[in-house]
Amino acid sequence: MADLANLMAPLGGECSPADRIADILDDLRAEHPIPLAVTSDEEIVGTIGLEAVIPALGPGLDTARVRDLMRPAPLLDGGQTPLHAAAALVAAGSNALLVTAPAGGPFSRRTEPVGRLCEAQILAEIGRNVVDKAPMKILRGWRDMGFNVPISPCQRNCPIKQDIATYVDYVSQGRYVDSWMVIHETNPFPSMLGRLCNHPCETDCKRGWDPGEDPVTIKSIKRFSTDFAWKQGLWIDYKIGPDRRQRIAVVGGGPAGLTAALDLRVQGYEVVVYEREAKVGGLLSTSIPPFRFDHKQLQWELDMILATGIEVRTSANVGVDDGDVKLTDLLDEYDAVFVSIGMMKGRILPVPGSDAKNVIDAMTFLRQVSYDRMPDNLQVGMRVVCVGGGAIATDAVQSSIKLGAKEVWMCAIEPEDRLPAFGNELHEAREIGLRMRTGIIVKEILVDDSGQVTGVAFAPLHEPQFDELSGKIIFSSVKEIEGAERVVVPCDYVIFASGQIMEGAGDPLPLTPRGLVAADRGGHTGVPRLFCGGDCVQGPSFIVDAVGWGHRVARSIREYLGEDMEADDGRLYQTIVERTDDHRLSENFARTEPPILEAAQRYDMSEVEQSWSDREAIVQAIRCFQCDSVHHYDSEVCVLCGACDDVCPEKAIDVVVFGEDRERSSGGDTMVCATSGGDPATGGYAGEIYINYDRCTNCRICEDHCPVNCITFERVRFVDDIMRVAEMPELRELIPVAAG
Amino acid sequence: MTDLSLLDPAREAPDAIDPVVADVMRDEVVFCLPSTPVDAIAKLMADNLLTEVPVLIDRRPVGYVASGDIVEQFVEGRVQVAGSDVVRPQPTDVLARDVLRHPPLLADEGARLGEVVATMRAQGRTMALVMHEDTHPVGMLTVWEIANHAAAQLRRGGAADG
Repeated sequence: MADLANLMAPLGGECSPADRIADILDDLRAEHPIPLAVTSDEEIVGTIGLEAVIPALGPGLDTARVRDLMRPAPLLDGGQTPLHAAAALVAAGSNALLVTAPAGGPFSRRTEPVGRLCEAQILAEIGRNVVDKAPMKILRGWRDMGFNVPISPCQRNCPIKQDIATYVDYVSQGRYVDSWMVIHETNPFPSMLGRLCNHPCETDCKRGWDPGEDPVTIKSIKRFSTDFAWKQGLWIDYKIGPDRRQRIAVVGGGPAGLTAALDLRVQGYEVVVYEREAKVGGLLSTSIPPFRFDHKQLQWELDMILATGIEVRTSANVGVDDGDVKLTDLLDEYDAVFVSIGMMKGRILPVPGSDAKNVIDAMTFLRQVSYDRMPDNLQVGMRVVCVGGGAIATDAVQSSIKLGAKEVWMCAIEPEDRLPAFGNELHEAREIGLRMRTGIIVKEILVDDSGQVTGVAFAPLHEPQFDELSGKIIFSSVKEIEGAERVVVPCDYVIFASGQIMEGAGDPLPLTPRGLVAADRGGHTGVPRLFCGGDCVQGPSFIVDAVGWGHRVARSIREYLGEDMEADDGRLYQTIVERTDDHRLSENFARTEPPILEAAQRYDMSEVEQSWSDREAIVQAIRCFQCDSVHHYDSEVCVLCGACDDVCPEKAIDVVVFGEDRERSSGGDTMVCATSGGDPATGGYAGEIYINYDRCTNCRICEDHCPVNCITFERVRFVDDIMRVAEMPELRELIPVAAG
Repeated sequence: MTDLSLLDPAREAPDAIDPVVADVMRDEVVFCLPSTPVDAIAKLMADNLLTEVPVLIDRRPVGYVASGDIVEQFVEGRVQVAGSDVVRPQPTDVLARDVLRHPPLLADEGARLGEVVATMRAQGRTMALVMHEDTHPVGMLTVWEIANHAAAQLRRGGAADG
């Protein structure tokens, strides 16, 4: 520990007790944070610092005198430690002291003041060796921070570019509400996506790049934050921008439509949603069975969106039939129209017998379940065959079992290990009794004389081929085994989960030969004022893709309507720079999934997946490498020694000293620091430090080995003031998600 | 009769004498979290010439940490000063939440400086957190900004009374 003689500031600025504050104000400012010594008859009688300005402004700087505001100045020998100095300050109730040194020769007992020491210098000493010394600041406006901000692999892979590393880090710190708010910045349906997302983020998680390691359970961490906010009764109030006096119609109240509606509403547009169902949510509320999610949380999220002032017209179909709202009328009435009607109609393959009474498509089946109704003609004790092996099929077969079917078969053309359904959902279904036949193709629905279904006949197939990139089956490779005996599965009820089709909204919706809407990635259709997006453009995809469409199309519409996208419109834009946590101990923990209900408890519509405890969520969150952390080199301290470069286990750092002609090995091109210690030609040094953030795992070994302690890890976030957390009002339930 | 002093071109506008806080404040918010160790807060204070640091959860102020409390923790041995540039001390277990004071002193960005300084004086505070629409902090008003404004007033010969 340094002694006081090394920490103190020399004596210098002085004033008299009789001085007015106005007279010494410039000296106080010049010396800040060191106080002035107050002298009287050549004796130091106290100190006065800049903080005296606040009380002095009461009577006035011209009136207030030093003697009224000065503080006592204890004396302490220069050989003492900062600890002694701190104790002296606390005992004297002061914020500065005088450091003394022996005076008057070797045998003198006399001392004299030689310097000043204040609280700020002691604080600097306390903080001198703090490892995480990155600035924690909120800066007004958008600033060039002087270094590059990496986008983490998970964020890069996410269709809605969620700030994943941040919200995961906030959970690890116990900041669950903050985490939930970060999620909501780009995701209006976290309760759904926390349960049902196909999580492309996890596919590219850097934790999973390591041999023997599994990716962070990002999806379930999102669910945990959302569950917490729900249990705490929180709500998000969106700040609505100034009225733009432009009206936009959104056709289809699914995830794409509602995301776009919300984005547009907060920018001040008037938005009207046309929904043909009696409830909004689209696929979320009509195609996903109740045991997959919490209806009340979906209602909560829908209400947060609709509370912004979006008008919803339910049971209003936009189409070509009598009584339908016509698309041409909407184009006449509104400044822009966004069609996001999804692919809500199930397809029944036209095989013999497919028109029998007990044959239904999975979309209709699930829609009826979503209204808490028994699907048409399904009775307890029936034997059910579901044709198809995807996620919709899995939901249909599980629903059948839960609704009392005696025997349920899933029959698919793919082999069992290449089924498009998520692995754990299939596993769950099998635990409650699902049976499977794979590698077969449906040929006929067998019907008796009374028209009742008696079974389904399938033809066995050769091993089909799969597209390496998408993992989907190549239909041209599907070939029946010639001469093979047909497989007959006896049943009373058949569900076709063999694809979905779009029900058109009528002219002037441009269509592709595949029956989808012709539009680009931004939703532009070529028809003035008409934008389209979501499944009706892309084909059946995931919820998160639909939300991504909503964001993109909302932006396209804003641009189309002539909005100045760079204008701040009275919004508050801020940059947050904060330290990131050190998660090196995370290697002690393995990936886990949230618990699910015991199989014996899964024969009703209760939610299957359960929430994590705080402990488990934090443990999983600290497995995150925080790939959004940036190295911050203090270029005034760095001496370009190259220690960080030498010790980096990932070879992610390159310290390049000019004149050494050293080849960079990291392959990265993100320069984080340019340091100059003088002209190299005259013996100085100068160089640059490059980081390859694709390699960096934030192990912080470089930070540990830096001899001058100039490396820190920090996060830079750009935020605005659109969202505000509040208490949840009573849920409106005006447009209930659950009809039961 | 017309008050001729009102026609004095050198007379300062009321806003110059007692401006709104947004015109005087420091245009950044130095903050910590409830989970920030106090030695890191000490560094924040020393680096930014502060004696109080607001504690935020995301951007919501929940309290503040005062420098005197950190010094007291140091005196009581709960915070270590040791090590060197290559051997670091153990991180302290004392966190902002352990020395948290509240409520934080909040000032609207449109409030008058004199009014805010009077509140600071009455409460014995050295820092006010400047808020935008009562929701987000956008700046800080510390002794430094107040003194700079007062010095500018003195130079112009205006009243510096708070």
